[in-house]
Amino acid sequence: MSEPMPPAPPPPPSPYTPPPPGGGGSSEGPRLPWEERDQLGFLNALIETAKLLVTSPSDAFSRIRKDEDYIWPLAFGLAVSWVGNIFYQIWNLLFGAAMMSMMGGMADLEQFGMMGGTNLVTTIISIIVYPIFYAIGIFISAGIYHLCLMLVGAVAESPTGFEGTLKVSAYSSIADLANVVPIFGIFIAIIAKIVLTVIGFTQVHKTTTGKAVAAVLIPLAVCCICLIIFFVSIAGMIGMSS
Amino acid sequence: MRDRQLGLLWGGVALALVLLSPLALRFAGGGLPWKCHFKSLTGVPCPTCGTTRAALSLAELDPVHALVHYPLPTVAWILFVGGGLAAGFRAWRRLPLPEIPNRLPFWAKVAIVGVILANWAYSIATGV
Repeated sequence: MSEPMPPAPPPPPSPYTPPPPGGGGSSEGPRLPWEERDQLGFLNALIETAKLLVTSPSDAFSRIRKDEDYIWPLAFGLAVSWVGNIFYQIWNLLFGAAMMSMMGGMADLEQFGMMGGTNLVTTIISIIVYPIFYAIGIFISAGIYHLCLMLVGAVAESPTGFEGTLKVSAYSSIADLANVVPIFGIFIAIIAKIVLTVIGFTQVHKTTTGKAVAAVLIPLAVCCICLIIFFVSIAGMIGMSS
Repeated sequence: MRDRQLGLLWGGVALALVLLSPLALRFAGGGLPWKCHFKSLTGVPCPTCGTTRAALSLAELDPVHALVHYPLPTVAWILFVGGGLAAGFRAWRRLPLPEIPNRLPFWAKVAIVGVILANWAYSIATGV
């Protein structure tokens, strides 16, 4: 009879702590690094949260809790979105005219103020006043999203309610960092934000992906038909000119 | 108190919109700085055409013009800004705030979709 085998050593601890079953709304389980900034430090918490949202958004959103704190999630969203906006304004300043000449015939695009027709003063003003418009925009978008979530019945069993919707909108602003990519960054940012918002709603409202997709696409279809056509037109013009 | 922060933030946003409205009027001048691309391509206004013009009409303190030409966006702006100011005031005075619902009865869902479609039809009919 052989000697009994020694017990296997325990597996090394994983840096990822899985969230508790049930996801958002529970007071148990790991939290977003941003919500533990007192321990981690402001900048470290900001960077760790950004990393988590980019590399594992589902895990990140599942850590959102109902704690009636609206200011700090908005502060995170503003911080990352502001950085993205600064890059966007710089690229617009540098390449706006080139984009316009590339698109030749579509002179009315300039009126959108998205390309060309800008200068250093308007760029600086845009960057300075951005926080005000970010706050207005995030409230309006969260309100519209929550209405759509109610329309499709995605928040009926939500543990976080409107707070969850607003927090997802704020944390999804991480997508605005894609504006560090010149010219095409805004397109990446828009698509990334849609994807992140869907993942976020699925996690914080404990709903199905189908309902989350429907809730996110309804305002895009209803409110932004013109915007979609605008971007498709731009893509078409770029395709034709290349 | 429940969601006092939310009331104060919403109130702040509504107040910012009110305070910025004279600037918006000055920025817009004689007309909007952009066009609706949907309308440019199809000749038909999009479902939300008139939202900015409704806000500008309200900023000019002309709610009748806003309601006649852009009814739904006007009501939405009034609810958003008015609700925000009311919520901000109540939060500031530490009064209880109504809870934001998570459920809508079926009739309310039908009514919301119906109102949006009716407003779009009105926009198309009046050539907004």
